[in-house]
Amino acid sequence: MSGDHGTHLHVHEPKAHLTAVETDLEYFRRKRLEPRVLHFLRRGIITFADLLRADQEPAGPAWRERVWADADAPIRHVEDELDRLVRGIAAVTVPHQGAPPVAIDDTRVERGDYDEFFRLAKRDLGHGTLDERLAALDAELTDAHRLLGAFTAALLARGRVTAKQLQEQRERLASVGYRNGARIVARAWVDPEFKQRLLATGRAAVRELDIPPGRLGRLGVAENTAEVHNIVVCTLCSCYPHDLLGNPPWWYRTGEYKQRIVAKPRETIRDMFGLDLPDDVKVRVHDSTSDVRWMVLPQRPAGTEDLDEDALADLVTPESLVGAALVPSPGAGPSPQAGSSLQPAPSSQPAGQ
Amino acid sequence: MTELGAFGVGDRVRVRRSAPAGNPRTPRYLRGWTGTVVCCHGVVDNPLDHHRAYPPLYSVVFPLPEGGSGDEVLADLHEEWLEAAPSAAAESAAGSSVADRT
Repeated sequence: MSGDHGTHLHVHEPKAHLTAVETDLEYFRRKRLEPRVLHFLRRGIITFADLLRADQEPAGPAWRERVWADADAPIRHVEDELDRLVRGIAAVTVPHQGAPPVAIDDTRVERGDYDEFFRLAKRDLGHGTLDERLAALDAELTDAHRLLGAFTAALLARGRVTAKQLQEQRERLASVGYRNGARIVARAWVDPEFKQRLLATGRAAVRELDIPPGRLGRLGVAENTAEVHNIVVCTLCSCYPHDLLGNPPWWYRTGEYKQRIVAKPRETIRDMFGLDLPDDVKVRVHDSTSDVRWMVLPQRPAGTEDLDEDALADLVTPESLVGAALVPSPGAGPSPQAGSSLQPAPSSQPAGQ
Repeated sequence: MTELGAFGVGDRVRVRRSAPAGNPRTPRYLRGWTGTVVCCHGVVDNPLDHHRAYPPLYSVVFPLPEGGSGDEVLADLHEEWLEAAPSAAAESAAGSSVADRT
């Protein structure tokens, strides 16, 4: 689960949680971690021998020897380990010394976004019993942490990054997350002039909330109204205002979502998220292509006239910032997507691409 | 940043089928489609994303063939991928708007 939540909810659908972790792990390994390692090796920024020298055996107990407090504990464990991995990958995405900067588009080329020839092979996760899937996930996560550890140590040993840079990056990333989006939305609801500045200037306006505006191109804000419902996708990769809002929900990175939402958006929103939009509301899908990173400004729900800005922000969900959900009225209980095929995101951490 | 391009809001544009020297950020499924410019962003300064500046950027709205209820897709496309298209009125007079979608 997201690091924004101090406590874990009961895991109602363990298989759906595992699918989310498996999908996200494959994404972050194939799209963020391994392409970056390969890029640095190709450019000679580090060497294979650097990685071998920096390698360390994992210290934790073997999966079979672990003792769990309850049935949900192993699932929470793999979710937490994934969160830690995603944060660790984001932390090493810092400028390195003595080499030209790695633009995000270099990484996209390297990981095969434009050419399947370069794509890293998927691993065959998601088969077998719950126990078998958990054990396989744990092994994959352990391996990914091992590679990330060696990569980080090699960068430090080569002097390509400093411990101070890594620490500063971790601190910077701690201020990034969907809560920034929730605060932006709540301010726009209570202050129409701020809303106009936000729609017109994007990132410049969020400085008014003391939110670091980020630098990934323009921030596009798509306002939901009684006539238009907006939803965001990136069919080319997974563009999002990561640097401001953290990572989007996990399904945002899946091929299923990308393909379906631009073909039949209304049906897809109903089938994947349990949200049935009225026929007189037009759906506009924003397909991000990186120079403009889109977020949705959801509609203010009914029954919130007496709420202050902080209480309004508490209503805003990560899904509503993408356009996959409405913001629920206070006390409305779980949102419609609780009954859908998709379960809460295992990770909402920033990763900078 | 303020360098505006050849098209203006309301212009009809067609997405080129290929732009060999162009940037790679144009979704494949939109190629050959005709849409309407709704926002001109100019040249966007985005050095974290790509080393050199791309040509001027436009938000273009396309009706979705299977969307129903006027559903549409908006994509941000760079100028080298776009060419001027006839206005909607001229196109419907010629009866040729559907053929561009395949």
